[in-house]
Amino acid sequence: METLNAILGGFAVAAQPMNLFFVFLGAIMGTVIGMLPGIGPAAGIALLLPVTFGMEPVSALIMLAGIYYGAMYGNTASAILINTPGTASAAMTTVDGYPLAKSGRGGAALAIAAIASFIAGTMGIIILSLLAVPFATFALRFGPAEYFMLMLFSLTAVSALTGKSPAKGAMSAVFGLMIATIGIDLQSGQARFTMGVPEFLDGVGLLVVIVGLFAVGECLRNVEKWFEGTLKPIPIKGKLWFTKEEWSRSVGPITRGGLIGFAVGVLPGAGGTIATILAYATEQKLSKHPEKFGTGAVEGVAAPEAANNGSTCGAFVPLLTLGVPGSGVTAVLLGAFIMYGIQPGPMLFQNNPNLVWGLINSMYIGNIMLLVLNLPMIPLFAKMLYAPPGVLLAVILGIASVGIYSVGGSTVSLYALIFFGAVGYMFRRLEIPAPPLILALVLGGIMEQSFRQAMTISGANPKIFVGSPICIILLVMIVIAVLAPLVVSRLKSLPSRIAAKSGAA
Amino acid sequence: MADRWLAGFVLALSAVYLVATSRLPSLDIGDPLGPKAFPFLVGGLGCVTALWLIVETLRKRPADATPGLAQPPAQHHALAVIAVMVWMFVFYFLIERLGFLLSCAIFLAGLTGYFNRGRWIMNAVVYLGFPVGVYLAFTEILGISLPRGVLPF
Repeated sequence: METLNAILGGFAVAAQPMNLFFVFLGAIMGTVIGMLPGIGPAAGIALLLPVTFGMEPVSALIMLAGIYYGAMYGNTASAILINTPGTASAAMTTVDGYPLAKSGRGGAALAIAAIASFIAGTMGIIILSLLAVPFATFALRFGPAEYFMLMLFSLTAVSALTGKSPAKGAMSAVFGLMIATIGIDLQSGQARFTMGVPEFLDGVGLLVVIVGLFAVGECLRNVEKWFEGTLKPIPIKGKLWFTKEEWSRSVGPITRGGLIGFAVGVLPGAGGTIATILAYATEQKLSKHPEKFGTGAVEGVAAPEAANNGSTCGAFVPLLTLGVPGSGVTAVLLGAFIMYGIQPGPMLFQNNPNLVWGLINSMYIGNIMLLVLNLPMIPLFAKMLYAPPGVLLAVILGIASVGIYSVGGSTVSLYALIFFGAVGYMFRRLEIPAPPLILALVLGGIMEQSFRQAMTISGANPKIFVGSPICIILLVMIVIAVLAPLVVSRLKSLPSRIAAKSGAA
Repeated sequence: MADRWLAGFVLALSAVYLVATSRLPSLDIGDPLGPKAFPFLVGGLGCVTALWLIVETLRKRPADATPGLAQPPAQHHALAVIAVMVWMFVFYFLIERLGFLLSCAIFLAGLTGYFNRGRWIMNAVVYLGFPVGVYLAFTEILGISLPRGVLPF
């Protein structure tokens, strides 16, 4: 009953005109950010964070979340029209979406993708609402040792699963932890690793690192790509709608894809990309015509598009109920929560029900807006794909610079931005995944704190980390996460294997 | 080969980090671990990842010797990346001296002039419109001040 009241209260918050406006803004920006290859939701949210400083936290979070799930709609258009996923989680959509566009069914592919995203998104929010309170209640039993193990699990899973090489993922996480230890140690007051820079006493700003790694790093990479030339988009032909037959073939894939996506999204590390691959592989297995996959099967667009939207909703479960994100984007969102002075986690549902339910319920509205925006307007948005890359590059660097300057208020943070941009560029060149670094940076401080609290409770006996059933289960999960890449690396090569097969045929 | 260098770099970085940790003054009051324990763990983990990567490169060798390797971009591409970073540095160096409007316009004019060559009108709209729009949005709507510099407004 209490929960029901809280949910209804959340609708009241989400329906405030101001918040409706910010959902709309978030949805539009998410669509654009998702569509443009080279800037993903993590960088997009980080670029906008500075602008949200004066806003009500709930409005700001509603908008930032809108960017996240909005990007899952937008990333489809570039996948289908230029065979380049707008964000990594649309990679699977290119496999059948691009052949559909080439054969003149691009409009149908886009429409199916929008509907699939909407259905899976809405399903996901309902499941999220059902799971949130039980999860949060369970998490109340966690002490410092359990929390430490949980964060370690999340970090291990993200490190092991986001890149091609688990060793490089772990390296990325270690870099993040190193950066997290820069600044004054809150428990002893001791300054650590500041290298004599007074601005670093408060630690290295999260925003500088995120914007540097994702936005500036990607821009620098695009400088190189500029010399190689760009792909021209395929114009959208035909009506922006699908046939009855295409629809009836898509219903099953959408439902299954949404559920698979949600389940995978809850798990740390796996995230949208793996969710889409699993959904695609499932449909191919179930299909009576598996040979059509890779040559322009509508199911091959519907399933991954549903899965990546389902996974976004799933990813909110650990973020909101445990306060532990399981991916790069949700780590950035956690950073946003912390910047507004709000700690997500089990207490959030008791202390701030209006905020958390306002945020969750705003997603229903956001998904409706995105459906409306995407169906008739997508050809308009797709014009952005014609925007000259040189102008995009300049504007993104401009936005990054202003944003960082306005938050840091000094040129020191700008010079740090160049440094982390260079790091981001090197990460891309060396194929080191950036999300583990961000996650480690966001979690590092809390991890150290709970580590030390646990050790204080146990009198410096490390056995406390295996001292409860929850800890032992988490330890087993950590071991599974370390071994998971053996299975997942086979899965990940699926898009290229299919492409190779259909190319040869 | 690049991965060997990376492993070496991470090993060196972790070593420096561990030395810096050991030099931190210990102020452990009511905290059995103090400010050093966690960094020691992190530094140790850094060494482990470096060794792990070396093992990975040794094991991978025969499998993807030829086809999977990405072609190294030509030399002038890397130079262009460095040039863009230097150009960013110039922008940041000037931002408080010349003010946001001028320094940002110069920055964008340079970038679009090179990467969007020949489209003078479109570029002018970008390098004049963007700084003015951002400046107005930040100072008038968001209430965040940006450096005014040499301009009177």
